[in-house]
Amino acid sequence: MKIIIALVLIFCWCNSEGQAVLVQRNTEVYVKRNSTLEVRESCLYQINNSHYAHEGKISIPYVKGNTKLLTAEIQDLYGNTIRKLKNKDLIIHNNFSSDAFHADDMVMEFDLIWHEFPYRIKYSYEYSEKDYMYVAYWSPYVKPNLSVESAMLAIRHPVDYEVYMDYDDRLKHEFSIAEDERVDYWKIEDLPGIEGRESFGSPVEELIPVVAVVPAQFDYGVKGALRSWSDFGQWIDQLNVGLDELTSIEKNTIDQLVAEVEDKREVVRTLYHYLQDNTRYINVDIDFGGMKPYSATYVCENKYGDCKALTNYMKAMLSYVNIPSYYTLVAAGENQRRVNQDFPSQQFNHVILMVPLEGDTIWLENTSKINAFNYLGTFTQNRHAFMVNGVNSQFVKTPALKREDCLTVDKYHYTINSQGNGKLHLKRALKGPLFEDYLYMKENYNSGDLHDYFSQYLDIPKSELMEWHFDSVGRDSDHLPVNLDFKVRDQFHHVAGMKVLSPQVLNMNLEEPGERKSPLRINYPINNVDSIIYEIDDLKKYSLALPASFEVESKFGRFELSCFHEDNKVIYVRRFELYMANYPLSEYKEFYHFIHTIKTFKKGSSTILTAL
Amino acid sequence: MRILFVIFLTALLPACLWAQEHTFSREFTEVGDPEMDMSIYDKDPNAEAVILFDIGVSEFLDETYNIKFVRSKRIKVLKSSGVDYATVRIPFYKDGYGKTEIVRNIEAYTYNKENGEIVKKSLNPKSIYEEKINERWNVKKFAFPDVKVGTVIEYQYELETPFHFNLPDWQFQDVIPTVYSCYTAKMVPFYEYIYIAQGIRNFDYHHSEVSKIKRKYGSVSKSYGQNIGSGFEFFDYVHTYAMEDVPAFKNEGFITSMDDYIMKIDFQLAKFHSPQGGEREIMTTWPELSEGLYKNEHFGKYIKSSQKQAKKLLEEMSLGGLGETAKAATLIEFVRNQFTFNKIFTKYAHQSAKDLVDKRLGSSGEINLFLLSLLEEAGLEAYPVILSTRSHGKISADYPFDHFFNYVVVMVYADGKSFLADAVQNFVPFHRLPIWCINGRGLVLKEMPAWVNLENDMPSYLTVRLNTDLNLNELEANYFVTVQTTDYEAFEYKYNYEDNEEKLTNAFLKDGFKSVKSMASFNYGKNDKPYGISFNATSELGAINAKIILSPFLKFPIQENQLHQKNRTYPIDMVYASLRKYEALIGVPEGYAVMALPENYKLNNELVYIDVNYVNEGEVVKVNASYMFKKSIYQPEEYPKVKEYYDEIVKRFNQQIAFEKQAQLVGVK
Repeated sequence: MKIIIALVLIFCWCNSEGQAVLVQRNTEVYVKRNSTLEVRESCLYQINNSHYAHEGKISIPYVKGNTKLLTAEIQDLYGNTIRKLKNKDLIIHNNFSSDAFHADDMVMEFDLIWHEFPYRIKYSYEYSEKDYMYVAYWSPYVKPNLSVESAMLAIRHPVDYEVYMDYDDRLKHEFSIAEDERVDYWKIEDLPGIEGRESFGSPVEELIPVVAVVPAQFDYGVKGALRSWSDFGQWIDQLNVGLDELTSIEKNTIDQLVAEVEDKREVVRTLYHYLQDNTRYINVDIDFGGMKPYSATYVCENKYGDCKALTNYMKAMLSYVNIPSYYTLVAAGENQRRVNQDFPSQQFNHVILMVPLEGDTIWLENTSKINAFNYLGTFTQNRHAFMVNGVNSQFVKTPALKREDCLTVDKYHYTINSQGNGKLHLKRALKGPLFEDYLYMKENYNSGDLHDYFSQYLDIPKSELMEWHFDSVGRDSDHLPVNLDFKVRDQFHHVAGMKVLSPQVLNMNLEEPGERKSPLRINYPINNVDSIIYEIDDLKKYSLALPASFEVESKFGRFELSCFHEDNKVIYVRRFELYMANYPLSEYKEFYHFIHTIKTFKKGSSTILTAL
Repeated sequence: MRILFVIFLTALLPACLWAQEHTFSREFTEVGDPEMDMSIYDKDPNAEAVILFDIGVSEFLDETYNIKFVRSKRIKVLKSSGVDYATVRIPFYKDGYGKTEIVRNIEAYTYNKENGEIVKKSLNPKSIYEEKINERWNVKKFAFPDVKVGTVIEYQYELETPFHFNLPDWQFQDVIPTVYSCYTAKMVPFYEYIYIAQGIRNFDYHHSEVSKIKRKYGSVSKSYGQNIGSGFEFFDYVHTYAMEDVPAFKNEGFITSMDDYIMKIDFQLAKFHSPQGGEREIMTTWPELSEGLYKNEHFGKYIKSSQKQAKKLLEEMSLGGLGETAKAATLIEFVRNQFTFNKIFTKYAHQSAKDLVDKRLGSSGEINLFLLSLLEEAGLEAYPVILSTRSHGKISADYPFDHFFNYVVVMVYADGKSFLADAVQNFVPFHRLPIWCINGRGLVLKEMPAWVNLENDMPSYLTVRLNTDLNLNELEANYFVTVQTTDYEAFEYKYNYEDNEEKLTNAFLKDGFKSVKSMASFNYGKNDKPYGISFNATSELGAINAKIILSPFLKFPIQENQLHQKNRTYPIDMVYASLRKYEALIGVPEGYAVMALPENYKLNNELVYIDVNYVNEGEVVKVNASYMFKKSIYQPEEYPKVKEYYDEIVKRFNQQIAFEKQAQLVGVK
């Protein structure tokens, strides 16, 4: 029988579209004759209800004596001023980032919040810059989650000021030339907002339309050009020149460390361990600190630095023992926007070191005190990185995590009585991303925090974690085993008089195909094998209905489940794999069905015990 | 657990001698082998680092009587994660009116043992950075050079403060263990402080004595041993507090904030004895605290100064003909609707009433004190009530310490009755306080201040109804769901999800739905009516062999008993009493029949009400389950029972039911 549903709606939401909108954004960039950049930014938002009032918390870059706030006010829908911001409502402070210990850049903050909806907020400001690597790196969004009604970028520059540009086709581009100036315009209208990253989706940064304009020649710390990647590499080399000097004490230490070591690979390993044990990551970002490393001498003395300083120092140490290595820029991140190789420009956020040895290339992540030697991991694996080597600078591919590098083996062994009470021993042998997470926690969490983490995230129903320990492995090991002992209770599920064992179902929430917006990106292989042993007292007093074996395979991956009975044990073995790959949005539906098939089957994979 | 002491520091305690043996040096810049060679801290082998000493001295300077605070601290790094303790942040304050704290004389050293030698490295002063946090706070920060496992680091700095209210407090405990922590306060006779020791039963060392050093106030000139100048001579009172082997502070969960539990002493200025004669009580009694607040420019004076703005706003409103309660309700609703909370919890007002009215954006203090003004201007009797919000901890002592209180609400008298009102949020009826205020007692600031109970045993209601159809082809259930809430149950939904479709959808997906669509809500702004949400949803069905499995209420009811311990020494705070009701109406698919249903259950006593009821009507199955904890606070002796009730609720509200295919009757002869 169908239940008749009576719907009485007293109030409905209006279409969720546009509860706050960026009505108009104008960015004007003016490259002056002396190459100084003048930027004028103006934004007009409409806030339609109180949930979006916080969009009126504005933060803009601030340079003393340079940034000028031109307007900041609340308006009604007809553009009449309701309230103007007062100077005393401005807050200026250092820009805090989780990454930098200290940074010298400042921000100006103010609130434009009102209580009668809808209202508009308008602000504009200007600033100038002498040192820059981008004339513009612009997207119509201020925040990608807010839709944009209309946005425009205009760049005016002398005709003989050469630039390179790269922009998304969704933006309409025009230009005009008058006398000795050229003006380029990009416009876009009615651009919907983008919610966060979807499951196995590409990063939000790749979905945003961007205009990037770089000068053919620039001066940022030292003079450089961007006609080719080789230009860019030479500029980095220039920036780093003379920074590779080690102190004499350091040289002595290195001599002692490698005195007995013959093999080159072992020399690299020894020095990498020395780096890991004696330095730490501290990022002090002042002046050109975003691009120019602190010298090796600085690291020798302080024993700290950021990725550039530590990599440059590691390079200097290797160079001292006559092992050449290359400072290699990379766009790091587990799910990072890809570098556009057709557009020579600064697109990187991290530096690693590439050490080519005969027949083998070693990769070093110099900011980690715990990474295994020659282990890049999810942060920098499988991507085009830019190896800096003067005119011969070029892209090189970092090694990819392979399926065997990501294998996680879980062994659950329950020993329970007929009430479902007893214990569980879980052994996890971890590699790949889980190995990275657990290793980090092992080294950085105290035992109480770890206990809480395991209790919470392993999410084993009706259990209490009693004790746990990591097996000891060598420091350069790429795997980590952990053993956990739980007390468990009430593990049988009672439904309609049936006594049921139901292994946990893998939780993977995917957007429904109709709602999916981004293509599918599986950044590294997923490769899990688990076995579950239920060792049950009195099992012989029951007849068992076991689930049938099951296997499904597709181009995305595969899943297998088998269940059998042995003495007083019910044993499940499951394997789940997803292959590292990219698929267009059109194939998402197939992927969704593949995962759905697995989920549906897993749900039906219970064992029923019937008393004899 | 918090233990409070109040001792007037001017009362001297007998000096106790304390000369215990200790292994590690307690002298700044004197580092020896014991600390360099230690590789593990025996008393806490897991410690990633240990504080070897932390020594602070506060004293009053001559002439300005500014407070100079000197701190020295030494840390041993034991594990690689312990290097995180080798960065230092020293915040300092500016009041915005020209008075500022000054940090100076920062010294920092790193000690490493190299080839058996202790090597000392000093911090380059150029590596000390200063940053602006906001208009009032700045910070100096530095990172020690050359830190690795085994390193000993130490630093010292001086902080000079002109703020006599801020005699530096002292924490004896940190997230890593502390071997020795010692604080000395050298008091001058002009300022009298009282202190609270939190989490400390006994100091390992506590000593008070009169300093032997003679100090002068004003001009002192002697003639035959007699002072004939206008000034006088005095001695400092020196108080020393020390703790040894303080364990690391472990956050055990279910606490408000670490600051409420860590071992520390807080000082509060109590009296000012003017050197010119006479004395001024800074604070000793509740009436004085109240009076002090009324005189405070950010409190009482703000209320006065907001009268003009209140009057202006009232002129534009028509309150004529309304009774007192209706008038109060109108004004409370008005402020709630017109003013936006900037999420700053305070009892004070820092911007002027004019700015508040211009911007319509303010702190809790600004909004509620303005409400008070508005009520008074409209001819109603109203008083401020100060309280401590839930995350700010309990007002655990009968001591008139101003800083216990971080929030203010309004006590309104109308039509011969009184109620408490808050205009910071707009989630509960006008005569109710938000959940963050439900925390013990509040102080009504009248001439004779009085306590008022903030707790409330009036039950709130939550009703979840699920009309369920089973779609066997897709192995899915389709639902029409309504959620109805009142009072604090409504507060939770409104506060957490703000009537935002996306946030609500995400919350319901966590309740076990696979998709949530066509959502509607009603009465969001009408706090005297139940707030409701309705939507269509689907969930996946379970299957065991050919049987279809359904959890009638998905994950709406509580899924796991949060009470794990066997016993408990402190009360169980339910915050508010609530009746939670779950009702499922499930259509049985054609050709199927429901299998044996779980047992019904009923329990009703003075502590709890639980009722679970299954009815099989053939074509439909009805499941009704409800429970109510009747008290908002249960005493420790009631804990085992409450725990048991939760076990029952978790078990009985989450039982599944199964449907199986009926045998087809074919051609009976």
